[in-house]
Amino acid sequence: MTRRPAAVGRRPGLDGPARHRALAAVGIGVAGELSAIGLLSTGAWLLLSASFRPPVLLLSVAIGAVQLFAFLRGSARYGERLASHNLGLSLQAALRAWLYGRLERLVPAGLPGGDRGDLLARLVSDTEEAQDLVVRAVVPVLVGAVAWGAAVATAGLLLGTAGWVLLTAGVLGTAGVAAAVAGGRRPAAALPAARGAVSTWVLGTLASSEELAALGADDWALAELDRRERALGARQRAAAAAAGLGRAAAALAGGGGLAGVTWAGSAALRAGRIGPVELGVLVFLALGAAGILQGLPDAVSRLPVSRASLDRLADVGRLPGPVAGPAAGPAEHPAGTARPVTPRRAGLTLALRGAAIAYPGRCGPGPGGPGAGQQPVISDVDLELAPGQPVALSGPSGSGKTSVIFALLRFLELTAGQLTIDGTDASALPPEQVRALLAWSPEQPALFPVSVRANLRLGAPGATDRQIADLLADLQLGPWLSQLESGLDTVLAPWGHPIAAGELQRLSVARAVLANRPVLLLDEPTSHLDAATAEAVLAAVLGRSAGRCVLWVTHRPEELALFPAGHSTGAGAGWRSHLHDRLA
Amino acid sequence: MTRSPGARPAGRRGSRPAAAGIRPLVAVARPWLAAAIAIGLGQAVLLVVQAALLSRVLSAAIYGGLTATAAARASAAVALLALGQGLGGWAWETTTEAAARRATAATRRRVLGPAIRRAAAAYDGGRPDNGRDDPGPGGLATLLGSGVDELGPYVARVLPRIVLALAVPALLLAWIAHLDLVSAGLAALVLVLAPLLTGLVGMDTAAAVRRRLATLEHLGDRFAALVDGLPVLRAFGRAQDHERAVAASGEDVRAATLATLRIALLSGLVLELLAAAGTALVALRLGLRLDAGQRILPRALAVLMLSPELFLPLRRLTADFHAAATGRAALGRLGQLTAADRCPPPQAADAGAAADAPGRAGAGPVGVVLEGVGLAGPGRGRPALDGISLWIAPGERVCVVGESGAGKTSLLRVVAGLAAPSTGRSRLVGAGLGPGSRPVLGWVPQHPTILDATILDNIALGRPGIAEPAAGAALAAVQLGPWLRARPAGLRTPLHGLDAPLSLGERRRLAVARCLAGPRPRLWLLDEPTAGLDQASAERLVAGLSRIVAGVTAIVATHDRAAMALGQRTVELGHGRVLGPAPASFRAGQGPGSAASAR
Repeated sequence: MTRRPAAVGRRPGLDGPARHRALAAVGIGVAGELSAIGLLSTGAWLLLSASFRPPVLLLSVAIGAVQLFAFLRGSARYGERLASHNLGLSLQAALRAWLYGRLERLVPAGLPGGDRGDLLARLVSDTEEAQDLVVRAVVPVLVGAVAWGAAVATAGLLLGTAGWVLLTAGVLGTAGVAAAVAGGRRPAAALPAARGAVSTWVLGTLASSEELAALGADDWALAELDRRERALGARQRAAAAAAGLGRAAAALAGGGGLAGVTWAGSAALRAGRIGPVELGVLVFLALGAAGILQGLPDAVSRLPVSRASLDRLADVGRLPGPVAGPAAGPAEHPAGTARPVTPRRAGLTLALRGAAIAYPGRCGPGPGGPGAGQQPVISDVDLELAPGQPVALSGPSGSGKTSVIFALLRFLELTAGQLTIDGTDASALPPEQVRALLAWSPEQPALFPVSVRANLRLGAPGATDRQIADLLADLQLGPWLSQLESGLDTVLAPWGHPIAAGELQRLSVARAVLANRPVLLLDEPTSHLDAATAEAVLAAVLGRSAGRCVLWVTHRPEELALFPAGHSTGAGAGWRSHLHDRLA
Repeated sequence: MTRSPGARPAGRRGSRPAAAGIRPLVAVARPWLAAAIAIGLGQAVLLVVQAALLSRVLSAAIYGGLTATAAARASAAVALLALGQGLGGWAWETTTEAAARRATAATRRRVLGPAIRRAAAAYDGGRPDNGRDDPGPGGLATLLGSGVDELGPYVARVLPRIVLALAVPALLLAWIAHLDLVSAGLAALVLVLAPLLTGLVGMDTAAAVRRRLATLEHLGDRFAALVDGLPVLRAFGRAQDHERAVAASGEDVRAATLATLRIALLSGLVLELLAAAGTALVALRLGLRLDAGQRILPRALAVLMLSPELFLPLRRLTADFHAAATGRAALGRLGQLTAADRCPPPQAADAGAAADAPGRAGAGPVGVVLEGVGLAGPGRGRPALDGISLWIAPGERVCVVGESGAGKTSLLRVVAGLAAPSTGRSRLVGAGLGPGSRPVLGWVPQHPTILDATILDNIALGRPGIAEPAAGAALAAVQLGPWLRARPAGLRTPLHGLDAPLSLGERRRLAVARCLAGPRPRLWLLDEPTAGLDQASAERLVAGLSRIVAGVTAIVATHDRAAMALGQRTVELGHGRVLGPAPASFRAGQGPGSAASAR
């Protein structure tokens, strides 16, 4: 996070409507702040001139002004909050569209780091942070700056020295707040790690509470928690001290400006350069300027947090896509609302020969530990998927099973060897065209918050309800389907209809099978199922994929034995092939 | 998932007993909160003094009596006040942070301690409880993570400001009343009206806002779901279809959020208008009195200066509305949890005894006697265990088989004393065992946890007398010797919590090493030792385990043929009952040395 987000330009800028929204938010906010100062200043003017018993007309003008400012101030704050949210939300929407477009080229293999799910979740919340930044930091700071500038300019018109005093105080105060924020950046940057250490420990102890209780290690676990809390506390203290300094600087600058204006104004009064009414207005202007300065620390303190979010988004903007391949731009790919145009050739053969697979820009997650950038996760992969010849693949977690699937899907580029389709080199084809031949059920399946039907028809827009119901029954999901209150129309959303891991997995398998593509890639389709159900699912899949290629990734040794050919991955980028005799 | 209308009354019902739990959570922070309130009041006093000073200067200017020394003295005093305000700002920040830090740390400790001790009981709803809806370990983790984090801002910002929102206006009003009674009356009227009117507006809009917020959350979640499923969309060539949908849904979220805010911010608008109207009213009232020729200028100016400050604490409080709402909710849930801990689970005494028993209890394997043991299921009607009677002789090794959900793990928990049977009795018999004392157990769960600590700490778990040689020997005994030698810093290598690059088999072997490093276990309880392992790893693990458990009593829950080699006989469970010895089909094709006797 040391680089400045140079890619800011690559994130969406302010387009037409957003610029109008920004102007509206700042304009209304400034009107509100100025009305607040105006309310006090005209109030003071009213009081001071009233003691001279001015003509009634003048007095009623002042009274009208006070009422106008009061109304303006009250309603402008409401308007500003709405307008700044409007701006923030439209920026968030633009950012999300941009992020989606970026991620579309990167997932699942092009993101750095081990836990991609976690990174995705963080990126989603980063776009929310951007909205928060606009509402709580950017707009308030801009509004404050403009309103403060107006107050200082008015004071300067009334009395030059007063303007200079306020200007100096404001500049010093802003510098002080900025210095405090800069000083607090280091402890603030260390906060997430310290907080993470505490919450990791809490999660770990909760998860292992049985072992800890059984071995009598609970006191030790709590003592370690205390130690981590202390480490976190020290950083929080440092961050709070810096924030306190910012607050102090703002208060000092505001009060100092007030004192300076009082002193300079009194001197000017005695010199006869201003009247007592002007002195009163000056003092109230200085009070208003001090109030604006006092709001600065809260707004500015959000900047470091938000910058981390924006940097993370900018980093995503810089990542290269993992697969080069011949460009298949959006123009070439008809933004297929219906089924993608695919050469639906049944009976093709897909093969990896001497393949090595690496993730771009990071080391393999194998047990080798940190290594060079392009160290392959797995190498010497020889895999042939032919029609009617289902192949099983097994191996410990992290040994490269999923990477093989990613390579077949062209989510990952091969660093050595070749992927061929019926003998032709697949790297000459656009990745989209290769993918159109494959149907995939991932290890961690995803459902979308739409109906069961729409979820299952993702790869087969023409599938009928009858076909879907038959397939689900074969996968032992018949009872599950019949207890849904709206059947296939039920919306699968965590807030509407939560779904268990075993059902999720089978729905994902159903989606892949239904797509009816020449190649079926199933990544651990039975890991959450009991033995009987797993057996039924395997039978259903094999029964429905005659004439198609099937790659079945599994942990279950008993399943491995049912396949004519099997491969296993092991530690140290190893690849082994076995041929089983079919069990009689 | 419960729909929100259903969940709400439950939460409201729960908030009353929760109040008892809240107090101790905040009590630790009380001195700091008191200090913060004192600082806030001190700041208000400084404002009063400032207003008095400035109004005196201005009146002197009007009435022509402003001398150079008076002006200089007043300016110096204002500068001094600024120093005080700066100091106060710094003190406020550090004090409220200290309050928040103490409250969050104490809360985590208060909740985590009992959570560990009643480990298993809370785990599967086995706790004989009066139906309080208890969060599972996942819910507890969320509560201790984000829930406690929400508590911080609530304690730091909201709690002291609630007091200040009452105390500061009262202080200022008293002073204004001393200056001009009618102005004070006007201001007081507006101040009383403010919460009343905002409350009325709030009541009217609250339901609408809640409804809209729920749908808003779902709209937001839609984007998360799309991003989550992007690989699938891409694989099926459908990712680009959704690009426009993402943009459109962003627009929907914007429009819907704005519509909600328009209503939700109305009470804020009322407050702002009232605050402005209050200031204007006071200014007009004083202006008219001045115009009538009354010489009250110094007071009038001071009142005008202070009138916006009357409403500031209230406005700050409403600005922190979100922190207040989430913080109060978290506090309520945490309070409920700690209130629940007042009644300790029945097996807490036993678990406590487990720690110090090993030294005194005798050695040698123990026997297990289960007499009609039943265990209530988690929420559903069917019990996890239903009248299990089982007798395992000292030194006997038994495999417990059955479908998932048959009650295998529950059985192990009851035997380990991690869950108290709701009916029947579970006993361990052996030399030196009396009521309240427990033998050393070798407890190996299906998913052992790797803690965010060094390898040595992960093995020793802080137990006294386990140093590097013992830990190294234990790791060697479970064939993790080569693995350990490959670590850069040996036993001092940190293992990074749940993301540790350990395979499932290695984790289980580490869990076995944990048990081996201490006093020799007299009863091994192995939960699905081979689940999720490929055949080769499973066979390796079983070979190692069979050496370790030889001659010791062992219960192995499994549905894997390889692991059944560990037992001398098998017991089949189904729906929480003993179905008898495992059927022959279960044992078909297994290796030699298994199922010697199926009694």
